[in-house]
Amino acid sequence: MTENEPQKYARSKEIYQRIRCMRCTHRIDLEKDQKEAYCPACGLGWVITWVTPDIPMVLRRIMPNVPK
Amino acid sequence: MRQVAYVDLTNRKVTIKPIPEDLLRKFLGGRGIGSYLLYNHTTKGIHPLSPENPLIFSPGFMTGQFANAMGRCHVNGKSPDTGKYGDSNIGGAFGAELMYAGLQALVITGKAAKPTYLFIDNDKIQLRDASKLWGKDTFQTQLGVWDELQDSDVKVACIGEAGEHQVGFACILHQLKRSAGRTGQGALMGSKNLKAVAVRGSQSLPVKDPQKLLEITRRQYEYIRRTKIFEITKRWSNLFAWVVNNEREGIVVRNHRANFYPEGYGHLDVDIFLDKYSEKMLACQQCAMHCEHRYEVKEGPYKGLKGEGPEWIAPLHFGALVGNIHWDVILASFEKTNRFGIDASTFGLYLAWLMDIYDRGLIGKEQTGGIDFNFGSAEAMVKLPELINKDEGIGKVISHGADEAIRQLGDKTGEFLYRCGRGLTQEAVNDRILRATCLGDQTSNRGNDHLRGRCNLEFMGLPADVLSKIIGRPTNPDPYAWDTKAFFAMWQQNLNTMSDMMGLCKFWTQWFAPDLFGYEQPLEVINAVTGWDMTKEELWQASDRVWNMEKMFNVRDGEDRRNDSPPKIFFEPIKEGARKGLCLEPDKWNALLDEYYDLRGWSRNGIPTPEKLKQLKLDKEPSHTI
Repeated sequence: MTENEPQKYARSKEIYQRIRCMRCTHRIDLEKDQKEAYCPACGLGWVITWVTPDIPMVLRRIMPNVPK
Repeated sequence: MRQVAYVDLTNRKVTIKPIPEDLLRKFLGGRGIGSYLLYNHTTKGIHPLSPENPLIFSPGFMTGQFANAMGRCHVNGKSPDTGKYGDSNIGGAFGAELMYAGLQALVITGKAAKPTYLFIDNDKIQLRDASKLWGKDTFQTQLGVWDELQDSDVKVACIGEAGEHQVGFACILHQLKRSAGRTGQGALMGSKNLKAVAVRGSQSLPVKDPQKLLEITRRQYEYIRRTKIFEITKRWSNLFAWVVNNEREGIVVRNHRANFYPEGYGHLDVDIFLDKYSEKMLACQQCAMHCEHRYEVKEGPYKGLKGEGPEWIAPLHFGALVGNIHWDVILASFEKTNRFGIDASTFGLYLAWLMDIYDRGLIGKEQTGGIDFNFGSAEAMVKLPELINKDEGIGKVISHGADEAIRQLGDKTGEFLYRCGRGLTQEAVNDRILRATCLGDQTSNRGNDHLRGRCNLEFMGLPADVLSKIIGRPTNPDPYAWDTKAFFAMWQQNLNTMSDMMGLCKFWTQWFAPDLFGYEQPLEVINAVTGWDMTKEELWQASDRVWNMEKMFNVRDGEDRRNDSPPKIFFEPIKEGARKGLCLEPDKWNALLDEYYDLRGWSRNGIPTPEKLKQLKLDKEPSHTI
């Protein structure tokens, strides 16, 4: 693929080791292997899994009384 | 030379014709040539279950080529579910096999005198007796065809008993879960006494510049495999979308009683599915993303159950929508719908409706045959597919159209069955909170549709400059804003049309993530394969042409602006949660629709103008070229 401009531009803005707050879409920077993170904008907390050593993904919201 | 095969089941006649290159260039393949053939081979007001309504299989223009993710096949026919334009898209290897058999399209008309299946063996097309397959489920049917032909490499698309009974939301299934689901093409197939289409193809596909194609494919693959979404999807499938949509309150819980499902956390999470059920990942033909799970239930009442899928629609339509929190019940119900050839999405919507009206006391056990239909009832989830399959009891009540079901269960029940302006059951997404997405979904020609008009980039929180660069003009990234959203919706619809014409999976396009394929990448492949000098503008116009062709089909049957209306509930403010108070405001919705029609070149009544049709070279349709 010729890395056409829109895609290349989109990727340049999407930094790895970062998640998006699922509630307010604010970007949250992470330390390597971080398991939980709180959104500085809306305050909600997220459980994080690492798909690869560089790619984090939100599993679910941190909530009381969740069995797992 | 690409070809179309016409099979007349009534007269047992097969005709094969070449497709002129200028027609191909106008419509490409898949959804493009499919919509052309549907419009040209039907007349105004044709009954969806009449022998004259054609069932059309058309692989994408690049399906089967040595190109990334080009493996899909389109199915067209007037919808038995809605009575309007109908189509659906199927993955797996069926489309590629049709191409290897030398067919860009297969048009099936008439009605066989007895159960029949088609066997396409390269250029030979046989009509074979399917009496022994009639009454079998989709899995047994595929095994039965393989057994009879003594060839398990034959690719089969078939119907289950639901299709035989002409259930309005019967699907056509290929392999264990790849289905042409929405709009009831399985019922159309069943109405023709056609149980299956089996294909064996061994021809090569011509490529103008093989070396260039090889270089393009390698380069595109190297790019894609370094994207974040590729790594996530190849391990998780699109199940990650469950959290995304739940958290943005973009889902429907218990048939529109809520839009957030916290009960699901700790139960329906993706990692639970991966740890307990997923065995491996599988792929469609030509795809490196392998986004499909093969699963097995290893304990509990459904121990031993095996299947393929599920995508995020499973925890939505079999979870939140019906108030269930158990993965094993989801899988048991989901597997049955696939096995019986029932569209899983529509099934979940009807199930939620029945649970809702049961909960409200509008129906009771006398109507359900003694089955508990409370929200979350495993009994209902597992038994309803069987009743639909056998065309019995409450299953029969919902199988033959929403209007008929409401007539039998009482007018009051109809208030809780949510349908869009084209009569298709409303998907379990809370479209009222997003503007471009709602517009894109609700103006889709087959009815509300995430695969046609959902603007996923709208709720990703992309910076304005990034989104505007992708869309090609200034676009407001605020999902709740009304400005600039008409073009956004149109852009998304045309992009999705293009991928359906090409046979390209949408998981590889900017429908799914901002750094994936737009128009340029498929265009490179087209030009390398055909030797054409097609431009991005020409490809955009081809997509636009196909969208308008579909629209013309509906307009011919009397469609107008009213059919672009969302369900009434979308105009009611959300009562609780983070999106409290949000809804569609009628004035703003109508202004957005006006803007959309203007951009499309349609009248304010939603009808393509003569000038627009001339510009798209559709003014002579139906042209009956092939």
